[in-house]
Amino acid sequence: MDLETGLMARLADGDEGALAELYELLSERVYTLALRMLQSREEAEEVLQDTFLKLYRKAGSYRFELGSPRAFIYTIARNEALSRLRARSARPAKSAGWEVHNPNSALAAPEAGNPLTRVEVEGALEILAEDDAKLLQLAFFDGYSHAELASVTGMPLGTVKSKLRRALSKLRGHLEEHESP
Amino acid sequence: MSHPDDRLPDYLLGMLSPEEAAELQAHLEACRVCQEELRQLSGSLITMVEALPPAPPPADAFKKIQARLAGERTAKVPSASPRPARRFPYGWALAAVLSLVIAGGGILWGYRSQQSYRQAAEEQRVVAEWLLHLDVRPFLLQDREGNRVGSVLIRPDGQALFVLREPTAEGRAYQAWGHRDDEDELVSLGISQRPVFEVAWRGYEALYLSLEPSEGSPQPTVPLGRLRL
Repeated sequence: MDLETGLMARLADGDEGALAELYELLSERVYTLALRMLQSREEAEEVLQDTFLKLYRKAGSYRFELGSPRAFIYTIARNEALSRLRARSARPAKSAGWEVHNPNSALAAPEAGNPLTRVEVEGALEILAEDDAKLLQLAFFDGYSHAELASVTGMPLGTVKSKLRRALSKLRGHLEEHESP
Repeated sequence: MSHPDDRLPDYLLGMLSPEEAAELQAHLEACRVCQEELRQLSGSLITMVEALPPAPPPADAFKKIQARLAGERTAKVPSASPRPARRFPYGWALAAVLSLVIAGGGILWGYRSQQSYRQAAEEQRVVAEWLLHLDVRPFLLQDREGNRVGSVLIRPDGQALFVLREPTAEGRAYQAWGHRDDEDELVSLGISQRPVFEVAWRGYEALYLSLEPSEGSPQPTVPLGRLRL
């Protein structure tokens, strides 16, 4: 059993020390994800708190066979952030070049020192075609539906779907290659 | 068995329709091949998150989490008030909430694990504390046939407390939704596997409850009940 799976097992038994250890390991990633999605430090901190509180309450429902603990935790965080995004009266508008954020929208107004106003396709995402990476980012970080992506990009719906599937599968394959002994 | 593995990426991104997601979820319950495929694929999402330039969270964030946890644990029913009792204006709904609390008490002793017992005890304390507020308004949550599903306590400060009979089955969760009269779509207000949970209701004319996969759904899949505010 790896460290994070062991911590999840302890957390499921109500061990608050395990929550502290998971927070130490993953809080920066969770906060970064929320900040990227919401573009607000205040809301990102709220999502960070809500995520770990929810993790404490839901640890017993974690299923190893469906994903790693950090995939579980990031999914909780993403859903929390998506709920907030959808509760806002309007999404950030998209420009014809389908930038992630419209520079004129309030949501895109950079906060001082915010490193996430524009996410570059970097690291592992470089293996994807530029369009595929952008689509994946709009779907994952901004919660766009297939129809919204088709509308924003001008691509046919079927193309959007196949590109997204291909992108995730390619990332998966890339990971397997790098994890193989 | 055929494997709907071409839909797993969409499922992972929350992009399937509620019907498609429910169908896939049912398949996943029984299919080890797709479970493993999903597990592998979820690594891609980890890559998405971890490719972001890291931003450190506020230094005191975990202290706030601990304080919220401690607040939940130490929530206690205040001692009897010397103020004269006031008649509750929504007696029928209050009775419904109290009956759920009493039913919860029966369930409480059936819990096997200490954590579940503690959670249930805390939830009962939370409900009791809400009921002591004079400005709380209880509503019945009913299904389409008018059957009682649970209750919702509404406070004027914009908070609502859902009170249901029991936790969801493993892998499932309650999801609360808000609806504005001038919009078609429901907005997710919160997800919980526990039978007592709080959401913010301000700005909505109706609240809905549905049963969803443990991570929630973009739209309701199994409607349980609704109430109009």
